[in-house]
Amino acid sequence: MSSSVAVLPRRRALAALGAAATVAAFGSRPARAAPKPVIGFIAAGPWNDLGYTQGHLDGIKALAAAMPQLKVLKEERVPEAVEVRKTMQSMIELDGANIVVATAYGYFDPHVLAVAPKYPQVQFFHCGGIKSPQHPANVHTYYAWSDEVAYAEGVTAGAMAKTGKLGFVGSKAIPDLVRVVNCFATGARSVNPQASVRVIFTGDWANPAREAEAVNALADQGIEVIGCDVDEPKVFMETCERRKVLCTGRHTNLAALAPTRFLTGAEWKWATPYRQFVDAALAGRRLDDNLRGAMAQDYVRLSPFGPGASAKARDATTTALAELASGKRALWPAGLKDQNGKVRIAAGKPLAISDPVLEQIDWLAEGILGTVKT
Amino acid sequence: MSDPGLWALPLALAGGALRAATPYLFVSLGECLTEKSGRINVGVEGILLVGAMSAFGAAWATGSPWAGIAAAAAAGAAMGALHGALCSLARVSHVAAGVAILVLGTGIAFFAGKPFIEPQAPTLPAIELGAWSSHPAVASALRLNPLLALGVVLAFGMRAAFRRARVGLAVIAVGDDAAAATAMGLHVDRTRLAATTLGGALAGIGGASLSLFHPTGWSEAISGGQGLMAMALVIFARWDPVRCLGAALLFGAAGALAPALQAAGHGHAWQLLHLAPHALTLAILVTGTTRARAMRGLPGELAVLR
Repeated sequence: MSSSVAVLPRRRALAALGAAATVAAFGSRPARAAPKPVIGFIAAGPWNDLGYTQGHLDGIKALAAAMPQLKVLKEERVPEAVEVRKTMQSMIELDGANIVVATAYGYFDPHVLAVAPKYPQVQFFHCGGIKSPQHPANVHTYYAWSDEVAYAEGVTAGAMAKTGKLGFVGSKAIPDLVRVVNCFATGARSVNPQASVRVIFTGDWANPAREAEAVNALADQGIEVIGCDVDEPKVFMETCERRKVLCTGRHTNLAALAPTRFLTGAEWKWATPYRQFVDAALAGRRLDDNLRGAMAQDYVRLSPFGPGASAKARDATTTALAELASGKRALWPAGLKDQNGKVRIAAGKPLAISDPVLEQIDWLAEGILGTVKT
Repeated sequence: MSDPGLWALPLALAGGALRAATPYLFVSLGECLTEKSGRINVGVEGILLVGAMSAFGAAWATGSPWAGIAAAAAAGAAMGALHGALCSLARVSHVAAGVAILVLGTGIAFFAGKPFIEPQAPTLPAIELGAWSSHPAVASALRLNPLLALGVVLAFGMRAAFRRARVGLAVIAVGDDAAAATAMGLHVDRTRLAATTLGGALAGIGGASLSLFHPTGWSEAISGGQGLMAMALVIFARWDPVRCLGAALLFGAAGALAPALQAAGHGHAWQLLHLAPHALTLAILVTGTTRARAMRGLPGELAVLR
């Protein structure tokens, strides 16, 4: 008890110091001149994981290359726990960051939401969260929809699989992943209506042993092409190459990991929103609370085709992407059924990629064997 | 139709057991040796990670997976020796020292392993026991890890040593009653240090199996707690190396259960099925500590956790 009494004044003193530092940094300048942007990135994984975190690193590198004068801070391996608050505070107070980008899912609630009110001059951007009106004004979220690229991967996969037997290895059955699996299956069935997709969820963001076992199990079942959405797909790709199964990549260009089996892949292009954060700060402009993008906004891209992809599969994929872009083909078509045959998208009302219903999706599309809810 | 469906399940479990058993086997053999001498090393998870990282690093740098195994054994031995030395100091808790080894090993592996996440290193060549089969699933399941073959020999060798050989009996004597062993003229601390060092080397080789055979590569998530589960496995095996082998195969098969069922199109309760190895660990701990069975096979000195 006595220790907590002793700690309180010190905590208040620290808060006062922090406030003073903020005033010193921003308060003394003329109100019109926006402070020089200093952007700090925080990630849960190691930067070079050939996966989700590397996708962000690619974006950071592109940003730094495009704006050599910009001060860019980055810290990796920050746990999705109170540690991230200390990292944000030290980036702001010691290094003068006025844009903080939190890239891991678990940072948002309660950590970013708790730190943001203490630093009203700092803009916080969180990857994948959803901001509601009661959240602090200086909190924003951003995310990229991979629906179209997953659909395109599915088209390639469906065109390559002679028997139409496809597989998918996913980490956790969250809506973002369910969207990707559904679009993969819908794309595959657009070229081969008989195609089926067996989904294995590993339950962990990254679990190389389980992912390798999943590929082995699918290969044993005679699956011809396997897609993936796990945080560190290196072992997935290598195991596909070893088992001579065609595969698609995720996060960054993984062609080198499966030199003879790589078809294509769904990549992030975080450089685009990162540039927007800095440009908005320089112009004193406010960005959307929930910034979202897909192919049209240059937030994601399809990896260049690998040697495994036939000319026919490439043509079908390119055509599909062009038709999706022109609106000739619906990404979430009207009348789409779930795996049990129940119609989930009403006739005549295809869903747009931005439809909020998709943020809560918990059903698997027709042709998928697997379970989201148990 | 060529759809193997559910009949592929036993094959998948057998293949999973052969693929995934090796790290469990080596860590549990090492822990068995350590505990037989009267020490406990709860830091084997850390040593497993150091072994995986150094094996990958050495294989990558030299181009030889065998050099990787040597490096993993050396790194594991160093960690084991450190634990052994710490435990021989007066009034040091073995469990606390083991936790320190766990944290230290994890830290070293993550810190020094940073440059090894991206590159690809040569992997261990498999013993193709399934070459006779034209069925790819059978051939794949029977791609035997050479380290598993070594581990099988080691398990039987260790059991024989604990029963008959002078050195094995010395370890047991030291582990069962330090005072009596001293009276017999055995060097208690020296024997324990040697057993703990060798135990660390074995755990390191278990790590080499992770990064050089299955699942291959260096990643911070590569172990998934296998070192911790291997500790429970030693209790299940009642400190018998050959039973460690059986238990390791069982744990390997348990890990293959959820992927195999989902691949066959049966995705129900996959979250629970993924927990099979962990559930097995818990079940072992509960059944293994009932009063009637608690003491069977337990080294006498281990009960006195100082």
